[in-house]
Amino acid sequence: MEAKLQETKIQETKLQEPKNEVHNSASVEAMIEQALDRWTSHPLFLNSVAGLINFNSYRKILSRKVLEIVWTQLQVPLKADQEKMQSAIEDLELRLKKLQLEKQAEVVKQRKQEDFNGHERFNETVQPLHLHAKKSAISKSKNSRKISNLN
Amino acid sequence: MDLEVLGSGLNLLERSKQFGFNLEVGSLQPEVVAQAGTMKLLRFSKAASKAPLLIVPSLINRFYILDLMPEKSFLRHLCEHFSVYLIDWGEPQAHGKDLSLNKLLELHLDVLYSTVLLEEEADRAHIVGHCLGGTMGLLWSLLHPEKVASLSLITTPIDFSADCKIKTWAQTQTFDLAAFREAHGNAPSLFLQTAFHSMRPLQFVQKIKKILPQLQNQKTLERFLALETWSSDSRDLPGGCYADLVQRFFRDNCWLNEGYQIAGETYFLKDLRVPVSAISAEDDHIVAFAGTLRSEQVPLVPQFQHWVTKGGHVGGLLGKSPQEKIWPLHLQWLQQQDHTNVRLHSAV
Repeated sequence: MEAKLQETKIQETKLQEPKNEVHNSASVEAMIEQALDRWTSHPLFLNSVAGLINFNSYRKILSRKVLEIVWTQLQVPLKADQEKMQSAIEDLELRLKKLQLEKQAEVVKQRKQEDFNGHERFNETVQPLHLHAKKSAISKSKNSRKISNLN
Repeated sequence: MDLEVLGSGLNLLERSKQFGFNLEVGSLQPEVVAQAGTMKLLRFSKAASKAPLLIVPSLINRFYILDLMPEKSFLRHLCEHFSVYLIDWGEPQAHGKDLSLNKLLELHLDVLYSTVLLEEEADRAHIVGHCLGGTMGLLWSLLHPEKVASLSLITTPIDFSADCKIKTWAQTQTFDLAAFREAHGNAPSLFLQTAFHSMRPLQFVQKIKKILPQLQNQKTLERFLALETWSSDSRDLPGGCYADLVQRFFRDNCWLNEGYQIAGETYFLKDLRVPVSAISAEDDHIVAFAGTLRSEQVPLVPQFQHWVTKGGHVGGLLGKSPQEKIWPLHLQWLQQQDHTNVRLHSAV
């Protein structure tokens, strides 16, 4: 009996082990994530990273300025000037396109207005014709009745 | 979809083909209707709706998240009922550091929007904005309410003071924004991707743990790979736009403070007067749920509808539950706005 009890206890512990492992790894992950979260929001971390990025930016600006002095001396066009020119050309192209589109939109609006007015005018002119047709229809029917009465 | 649209995502796509996966990412074939700089206006469908629909995707990752797979395509769902247009922001060029948000709105978006109205001979269009595209749509609706039939905001940030990692990082005052823009021009895609992935550093491990037991499931693997293709496929952000977003929105929180200044005028959120709908995700770690649009922030809109979904930034729109429950409701709302638009504005 005791041996059987011991066996069942061993089986139970074995069954429990995987669950504990999963639980432990999830909690370890959660702990690491929390720690990383706190560290990446800490002012020390933020200021250090900002400092590194700033240093890199200033280094790049300084080296570019030194090169610009050299290229200017050699009378070679600068990349910054080329970029400014490209930007200005693109601006001009877009403004022209914008004006073109505004003009086209006005033409479309005018056409729609004309279609709308034309439709209204058509409605106005049709009605008298209908009246005239009605009148003539009525008079015809009267005549026919007269004829039938005579008959 | 034209493979040119894919950037670094192309590598993952090609790799997955080598392993026998036939991923169809962005299966719809659009037509390029117009171009403004590097930005393209794409037409996906022509339908007999009264007002066309313009989708404004986020400025950061690529637009095909909205057409990720044939069975998970928000675009395809809208194409059945509307003439659908979409702005592909394209890859910014070197001179993009001078492209501010104001210029983007006044020139590029103006040209593309006017082209949509001209193509459809319409006076107004519905705008559906995703994430930062919603911010652009919101700005446009404030500038030109007479040209907007309705505005739909999908996981769009409004209150940038809501607690979230990006806000903490962007508000680091020691970070010299002007020097960064001067040095790098456009905000590099690697910089932005690193920031996004660092928001949840263990997410990659968790994804692998989730997918490993499902290696035999072809469909699940394809979905996972499609999403990873998109998630790794980012592009540079124009320097001017990046600076404006960080300064005006993350640091100054302009919607809730001094308003947004453009063309010599200041625009406030409370002045919005077009019908608005919003879809927000409760577990969104990129756009905090507490920072999405609330009805009290837009008191003058004739109609306001807000749907809240479970899930994160992407799952909140493309998950199974939003697809079954929110998409049909949103479509119904759009069709209702379309009908109202004809009734109120049919006079020529």
